Amino acid sequence: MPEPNSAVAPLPVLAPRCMHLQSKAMAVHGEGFAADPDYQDGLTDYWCVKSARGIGPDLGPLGPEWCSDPNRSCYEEY
Amino acid sequence: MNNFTYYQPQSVAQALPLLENRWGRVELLAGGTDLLDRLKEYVSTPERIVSLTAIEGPFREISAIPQAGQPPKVTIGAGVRLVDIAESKLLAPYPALTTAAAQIAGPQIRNMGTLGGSLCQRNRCWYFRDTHIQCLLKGGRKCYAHEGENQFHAIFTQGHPCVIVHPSTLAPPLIALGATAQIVSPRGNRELPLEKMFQAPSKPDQREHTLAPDEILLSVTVAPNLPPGTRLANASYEVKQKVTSDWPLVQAAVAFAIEPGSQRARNVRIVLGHVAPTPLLSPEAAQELEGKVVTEATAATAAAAAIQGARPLSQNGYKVPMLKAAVKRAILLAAGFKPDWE
Repeated sequence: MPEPNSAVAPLPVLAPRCMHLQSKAMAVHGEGFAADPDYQDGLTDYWCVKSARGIGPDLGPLGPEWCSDPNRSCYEEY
Repeated sequence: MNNFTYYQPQSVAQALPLLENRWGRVELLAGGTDLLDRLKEYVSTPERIVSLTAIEGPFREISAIPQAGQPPKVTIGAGVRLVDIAESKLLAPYPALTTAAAQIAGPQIRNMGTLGGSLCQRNRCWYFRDTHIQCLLKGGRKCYAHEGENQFHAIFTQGHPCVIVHPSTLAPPLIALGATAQIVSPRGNRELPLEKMFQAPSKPDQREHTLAPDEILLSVTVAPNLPPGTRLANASYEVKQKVTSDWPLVQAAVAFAIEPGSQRARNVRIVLGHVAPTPLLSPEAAQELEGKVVTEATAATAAAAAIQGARPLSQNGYKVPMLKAAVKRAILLAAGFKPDWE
């Protein structure tokens, strides 16, 4: 069995999030989007597939941290 | 960009003596998302830049004071970042403001841009922003947009010689909410209704706001005074060509009190954005809604009143029906109707 390559960071385990949150990195890289070299946490433009804009259907902000709240009225788990 | 001397005062009191009583030689720096662009394009060529980035305290804070039977009185420091306005729980009663802030440009701009910068920024007219063109605002003899490329310019000009649109997306919801601006200068503090802080410039010694060159915007306060028993409804609706990293083509911001029981709208304020040299209060539209229950029909009537008096230029007639739709949707959104995307 080959040695694990310690230079390659393991893919992060993503917290549950809303299925409607989208970004360009997600569309290209799928669930591994956070490992994309161009991905910069806090600088990624997200949008909601339901509202088709940069705010949620409940008019709240978007992002992994905002769209991981199951108590949010528009949340639908991925 | 030209060379300049850079100052970074630690307080507003230290910053004031660094300003002058005429425009041109000194510029204030907050987030830099407007000024840096102007410096690089040689639209602004100051000799001195006074950075506000080291000023802490209320200048950078959002504070809320509960009010019995009313939404909280909130004060937003002029140095508060747009992202912090968008995500503030203290501003939750004011979705007109938070949704507007959340949709400004993209995350890079929102992480740096400030409230004060949004309100005091210079206009985005491409003739003004082109260093090779001497428009009215740079001492020239004409406004080139009148007979030139004017698809993003004003549809309400009131005969004003310069047909820019005011670029702030935060100003319309703040004005709709009845906000006041707190301003400081060597002459002391003053406060004025936010709608009085804007003007339509036409000369090089005028800006898009009425602040004097030696004044600094400290904060903006929202303190609704609703009729007893009513609840506040407010919303902002904008139409953009691109959902992100773009300027609104039109914006409508509305705020009113809803009576319990009858559900009638009171104290209606409707503000039109990105269609005039200043954020534009529409008393005609507000009057159509005042005292009425919000329905599709009453919202449509108010929206039709909002576009009365529009005089589009040669290439921006599309803004008129677009603005009418934005006003109607903003009213319905504020009143709790399903958003247009559902």
